[in-house]
This record gives sequence, structure tokens and C-alpha cells, in this order.
Amino acid sequence: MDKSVSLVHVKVGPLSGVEPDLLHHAFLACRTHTIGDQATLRIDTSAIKIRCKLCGEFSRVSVNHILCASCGAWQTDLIEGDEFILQRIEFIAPDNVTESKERKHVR
Amino acid sequence: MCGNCGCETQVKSEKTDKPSANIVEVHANLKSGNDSQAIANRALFDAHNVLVINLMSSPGSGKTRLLEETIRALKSQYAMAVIEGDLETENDANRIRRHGVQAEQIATGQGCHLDASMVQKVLGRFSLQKLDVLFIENVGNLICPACFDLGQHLNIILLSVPEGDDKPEKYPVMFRAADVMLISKTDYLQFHDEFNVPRAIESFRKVGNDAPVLEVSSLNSQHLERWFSYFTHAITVHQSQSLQNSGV
Repeated sequence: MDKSVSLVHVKVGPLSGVEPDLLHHAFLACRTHTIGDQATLRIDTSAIKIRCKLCGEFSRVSVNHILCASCGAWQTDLIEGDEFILQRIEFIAPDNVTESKERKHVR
Repeated sequence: MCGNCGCETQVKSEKTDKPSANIVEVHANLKSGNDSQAIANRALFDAHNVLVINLMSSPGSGKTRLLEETIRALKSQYAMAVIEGDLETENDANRIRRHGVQAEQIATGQGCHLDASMVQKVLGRFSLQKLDVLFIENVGNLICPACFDLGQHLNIILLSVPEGDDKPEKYPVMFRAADVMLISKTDYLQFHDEFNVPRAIESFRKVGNDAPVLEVSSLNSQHLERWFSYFTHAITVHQSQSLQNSGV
């Protein structure tokens, strides 16, 4: 049996426009008849981190309240939270390919 | 784990840490396919010194009407053209063509947004060297268009009064993308007392956007003048930047 993909690990920010649940559904549909047809999709969601342009403080904020937690300013720079990144792929060598059906969806 | 809904009711994965697993660290942007086409589009626009403006909003918030008024008032000063994105029909493109301006329609079928490759496919129909401004009127939708760079220089987002003043915080990804927000159909303010302009601006600030906000009504010439002033300033700034970049 050929090498197969066991894990696809992505990182999704809340401001990326990507919905983790929908991405997971799409992944299950797309992996069929590929070398990843047994693969698990691991989705890590990041927090929204900003830096205030006025007071310089860093804050973790929610998606529709992107204001400095320290001084309340709306003049901020986004540090993290809009990414959609393929972090890593894991393969299983032929002698270790299992028939495992389980899938892991880490949020 | 349950195979139907992904709930963690059974065993957890035991295979991902097996020593025989080959791990490839990738760290790649999954939007890079669209982004690289958008960069190519922008390079083409810059090579021809064309300012490209992506107009986004809900359906029916007045994008096409704003373009018609802009063309009517300023087509003698600037060479303009329009790419129209809609699921179906050439109605909007025909509205633009009536003003003697080239418009190319992209019918997306059931597609909810334009992407950089769709734009690239119609660019050959334009004489870019003759244009000052190319508008791209995106598919009316406050969700997906925000996620696809087309190669534009400016994102202009319309929020029309009948939609309600809390739309920015409901659609944060879209409103964060705005380089300017136009509160459109302000002539409806007299009938729509729930819409409060300061509250709409506050909602826009809450998504972390410090971009300017203009009130416009295509029925009000004073309001339109504010938009025209912003627009002509944007062209002037863009053209002077292009001159600097080309070393002239």
C-alpha cells in the first residue's frame, strides 16, 4: 500500500473568513479517493491579538469588539487573527498504514 | 471519535504521534493561490497607472447607482471602466454602458464573490493604458468578497440606511477590509428613525477600522460632492505615487 496522509494541521484565525466547521465538512468531502482518505483534519483556532497605536498595549479581543482593552481606542494594529495557514502534514509509511476510521477534529 | 459529527465520544487519536509518521512542516498561506494572482493583477494595473477600486456591499445598497452618478459627473475628467460581478444578468453592465463607459459583466452563476482569476480573465477586454480608473463592482454580499484580494488599490464599502446601523459588527471581516465606508441612501434617514449615523460609525470603529466614513445619497448633489471630492483626491494621490514609483 502507498504512503498515506494521516493528519492535516491548519490554523484558522477568527478574522480569516474561514469557518472551522464548514472547513471540516469540506475536508471530509474532498479527502475521498485521495491519499488522505483516512486523514484527520486538525484545526487550531487562534485568538485575535491587537496592539494599540495610541498606548502601545497588547490585547486579546473578540471578533466584533476590536478595541484596545487598556484605553478603549479603535486605532489598533492586528497582530494575529486573520490567518489561514497549512501548518503541517503527517504521512504514514506503508507498513504502518492502519484501517483506522477515527477522525479528530480539534478546535 | 464519532464519525458522523466529529464529537469526541470515543477513543482519541493514537496514531499521530507514532514514530513512523513522517511530518512535513509547511507553514503556507492557504490563500496564496488567489493572492499571487491578485499581486499579478495589481502589477498590471500599476504598469498602466490605473487606480482600481473594489466596491462591496449587500445587494441593493446602491453600488451601481453610485457608479452611474460618478460616471455622469466625472467621465469628462477621467477615463473610467467597470467590471460588474453578479450571479446572473447583464443588467448592471447595461446601466453603465448607457453612459458611454465600457462595462464587462462577470456572471458568477451560484458563486458568491469575485476572485482574482475571474478578474484576470476579463482584463484583456480593456485597454488599460487608456484608463485612469477601473471599478470592480463585486457581487452583492457582505461575507465572501472580503476574503479574496482582486488586485485592487482601494476597497469601498457601502452601508445603506435601510440595512440598519449595526451591520459592521455583524459582518466584521467585511467592514475591516474597508478603506472607506460610505453610508448610502441617506435620503432614507427621514423614514428610518432606527438608523443612527453616529451609531453606525461606532459599529464600524468596533471592528477596528479607522478608515474615513462618508454619508452619500445619489439624490443629493451636496452629498455626492463629498464622494466626488474623496474620489478625485484618491486618483490624485494614486497618480502621484505611481509617478514616484516609476522614478519620474
